[in-house]
This record gives sequence, structure tokens and C-alpha cells, in this order.
Amino acid sequence: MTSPLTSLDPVIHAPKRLAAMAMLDAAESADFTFLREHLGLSDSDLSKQMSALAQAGYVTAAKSGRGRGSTTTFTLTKEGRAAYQRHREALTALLGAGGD
Amino acid sequence: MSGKLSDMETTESALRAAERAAAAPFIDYPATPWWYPLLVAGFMTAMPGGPVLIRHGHTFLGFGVQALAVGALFAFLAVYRKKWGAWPRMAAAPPEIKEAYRWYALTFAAGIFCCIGAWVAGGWQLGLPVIFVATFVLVWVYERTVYPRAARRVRERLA
Repeated sequence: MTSPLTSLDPVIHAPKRLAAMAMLDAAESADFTFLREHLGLSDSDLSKQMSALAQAGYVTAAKSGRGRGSTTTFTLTKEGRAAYQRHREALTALLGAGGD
Repeated sequence: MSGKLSDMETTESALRAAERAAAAPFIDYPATPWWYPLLVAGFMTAMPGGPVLIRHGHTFLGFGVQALAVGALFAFLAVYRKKWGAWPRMAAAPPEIKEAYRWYALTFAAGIFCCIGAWVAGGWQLGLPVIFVATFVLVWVYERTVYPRAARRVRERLA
């Protein structure tokens, strides 16, 4: 039997990235401001977290507009959605195993 | 033992934080303006109203009314989406919000039957006003009562 621990994704496991992935999984897309306000992160911290997710191929970023009015919108990729579901299931399984 | 308990608490709180984050696109939204139900009612009336005008020889006006209704609704949705910052994925909605969606879909279906009945009974003279009023009431009730109540229930559950 495989332990749920092996299914935990180290990229998603960090609390800030887990919350970002959960938010993006529930949305078609979300912009930088929405994520920053709801995750309570600074601009630089959010940029860092989203870069890590983008590097893993879990999110894509699209920039629209120029200058101060520009917006960056993030979308979960198919791989990202699958990875998030796996990670969530592993967390749930861990919780179930711990309660036995 | 206490280490295991602490891991459990961490896992549980991580899952709870993820659930709260996932609910955000559904429960934190800008309220639609007071005229939004009028806009949707106008759109829904213009769709069958345009062909009526065209049949009565007002071709330009018929197409114009439809184009205006489509343009206004899409422009509003584009601005609203930008203001919202996130566009919720219906399939990922919390159960309380899915219940609100179901209410909307069922009431909309019932409304269509009422409008068809009114059109058959009284022609476009009765059908068009019924479509306008029915849409206005449906959207107003959904936007002002049904959805906000569902969002409040989600907030309370996750508090």
C-alpha cells in the first residue's frame, strides 16, 4: 500500500502556495490583485510563490495592458489541477489515517 | 503522540485554509449595480423582440436593438469580470452556492414555460412584457436574496 505521504507535492505543500492553488482551482482565472488581497501577501512574496508554481508548470500567467493599468492573470494548467487534486486527496488520506 | 497530534492539526488546518481559499472567488464578489436586472431583462426581451420588429418592417431597428442588447451585456460582463478579479468555476462551487445555481436554473426553466404560455395566449404583445418582467424579477431575487444568502452560509460554515 502506498503511503499518502509519498503523494504530497512539495511544490504545493507550502501553505501560501496551497492556498493559491486552491483559489485558482475554484476559478477559471484570478488576477494578481485578487490573489494578493485574499492571500494577504506582499507583491514580492506573491510573485515569488507564483513563479515557483509557474516553474513547476502548474500555472500560466498572462499580462494585459501597459504601465500602471496592467494586469497579470493566472490560470491553473491541466497538470496543476491534477497535482492539486492529488495533493488534496493525500492530505485527506493522511487525516483519515491519523484518526485510525 | 503529541507530535502526531500536532501533524494532524497542521494537516487539518491546511485543508481548512485551502477550503477557505477555494471559497473566496464565490463569496467575495462586487455587488452588481441596481440596474443589472434591467440590463438582463432588456437583453432577454430584445432577443425575441428584434425578430418581431423585423417582421413588422423595422429591419434596421430590429437588428439594432439586438446588437445594442448583446453589446451592452457583454461590455458589462467584461467590466464586472475585471472588477471581480476572479471568475468562479461553477463546477468547483461550494454546496451552498451550487444550491443557489440549481434554484436559478429551475426558476429560469419554469420562467421559460410561463413566457411561452404568455406568447401563445397573447402573442408578442403579451409575450414580450412577460419576458421582461419575469427576467427582471428572477435576476433581482437571485442577485439580491438567493446568492447573497448562499454566500453568507458559506462564510458562516468556514468562519
